Amino acid sequence: MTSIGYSMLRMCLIRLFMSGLAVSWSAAIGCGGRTEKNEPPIVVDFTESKLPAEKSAPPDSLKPLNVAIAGVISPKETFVYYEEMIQYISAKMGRPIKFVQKKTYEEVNVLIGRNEIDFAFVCSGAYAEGRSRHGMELLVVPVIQGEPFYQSYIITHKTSPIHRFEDFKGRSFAFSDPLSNSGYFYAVNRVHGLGSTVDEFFSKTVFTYAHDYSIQMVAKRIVDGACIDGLIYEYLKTFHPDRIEDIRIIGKSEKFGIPPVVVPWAIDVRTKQSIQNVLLEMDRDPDGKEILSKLLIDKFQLGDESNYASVKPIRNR
Amino acid sequence: MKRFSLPLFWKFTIALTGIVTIFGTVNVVLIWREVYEPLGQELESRGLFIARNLASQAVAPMLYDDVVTLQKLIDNVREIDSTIEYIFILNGGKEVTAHSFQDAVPPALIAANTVLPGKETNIRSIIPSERRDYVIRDMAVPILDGRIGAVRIGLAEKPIRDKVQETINIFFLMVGAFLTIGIAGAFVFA
Repeated sequence: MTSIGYSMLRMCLIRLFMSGLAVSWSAAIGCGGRTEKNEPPIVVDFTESKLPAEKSAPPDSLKPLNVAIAGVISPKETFVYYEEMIQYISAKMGRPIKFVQKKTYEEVNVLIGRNEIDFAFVCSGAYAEGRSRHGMELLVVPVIQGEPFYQSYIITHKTSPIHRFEDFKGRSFAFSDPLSNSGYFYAVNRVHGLGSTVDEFFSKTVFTYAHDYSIQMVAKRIVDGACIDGLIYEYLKTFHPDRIEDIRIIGKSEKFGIPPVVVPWAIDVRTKQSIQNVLLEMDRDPDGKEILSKLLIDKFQLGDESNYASVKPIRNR
Repeated sequence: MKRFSLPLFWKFTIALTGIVTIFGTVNVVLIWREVYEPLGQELESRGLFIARNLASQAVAPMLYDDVVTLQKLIDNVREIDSTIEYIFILNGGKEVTAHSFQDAVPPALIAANTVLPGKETNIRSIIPSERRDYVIRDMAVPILDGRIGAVRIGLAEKPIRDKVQETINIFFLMVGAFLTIGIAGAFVFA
């Protein structure tokens, strides 16, 4: 091979070597320390673990109002259901509102009795049980489809052979809460009316602590039947029909006073008045009206104690 | 001028070493990419799965203000998976409601990652100031669309870096073996 041939070979080898280096360099650049979406890593001092400074108490005008919501439906649904209304009341009153949810109606009643709550959305049964025992007072009631009443629905699976309440004898049944009128009192009073007791009549009973859970349990055939709040059924029928497509209503109760908004007896009169005013005027405000329509509520009005006379709490449970 | 000429053995050796070095380096880079990236994605998938699961389970206790249940949720997850560096749950006001730290949650860590409105997750790399070679992937997942809080979980990259390093070490051993065989061949055939 000539010296020219040697030079060419050498040049080729040098070029190959250099291009190899270039490829590895560019590849190396591409795999530098991983950063998420090109954001550089954040350096954090893990030894610094100061406790947050104590917050000074806000002035009374900015102190949050506590609103309790009894778990008529599952906690998530309750939050979604009431969130806009609570924000609306907060904006109208110019005060923050703390949303307090409890699993059982009894827990909410206890909070009201201790005056730890400024106002609460409770079930009619919890109100009938707690008005004298826990010192609660009617503030306003919602009006739905033109009236401040509601019903308990007795439901079963759509393919079930059950057609009358009496057919539940020896079958399983779901209640929502021991203080629920539509989800417990009504069905238990029906059983008593048949001259039986819950333990004798049903083969098994469960408390679901939310009407939508009761519906779900019937739809999945975990229990044979349940008694639920008719308002929840109608709400689901309008906004989530798929959730009730597997259940059938076999009976409806007489009309009861609708679940009210209550305040503790010991509440400051001015606070009570302003909450009441905001709720009563809600349907006359476009924003308020829109929120109410999403909840299928026409308006709020002053409550009538006599509407709750037919709500019969179960004593000696 | 006298022309400099290398013996054939050295020419073979230099060429062989050069080629093996270049392509060895390229391969190390490729291995890093091909192994590290999928393992990193798997780490993120696992972290997000745990965080989403926690976020779903935390809804009711958050709404009931049941911090004991929240703490139990965190403790149970950490018990099952020891590769989790930390977990903490923030409420809507970005206050810690439950966590897995011995003491309090470092304030800088709370501020280091947040889920932007409308997003389902956010992932950031965190480096502890006292250990700069240690990378943690911090994942933030909102609870109830961010309306009541967020779950934060930190997973260390160390296990995947160790795995990649192990693969690279095996590769280096192979490269060294081939280089030795090549040089021996050059010695025989030169």
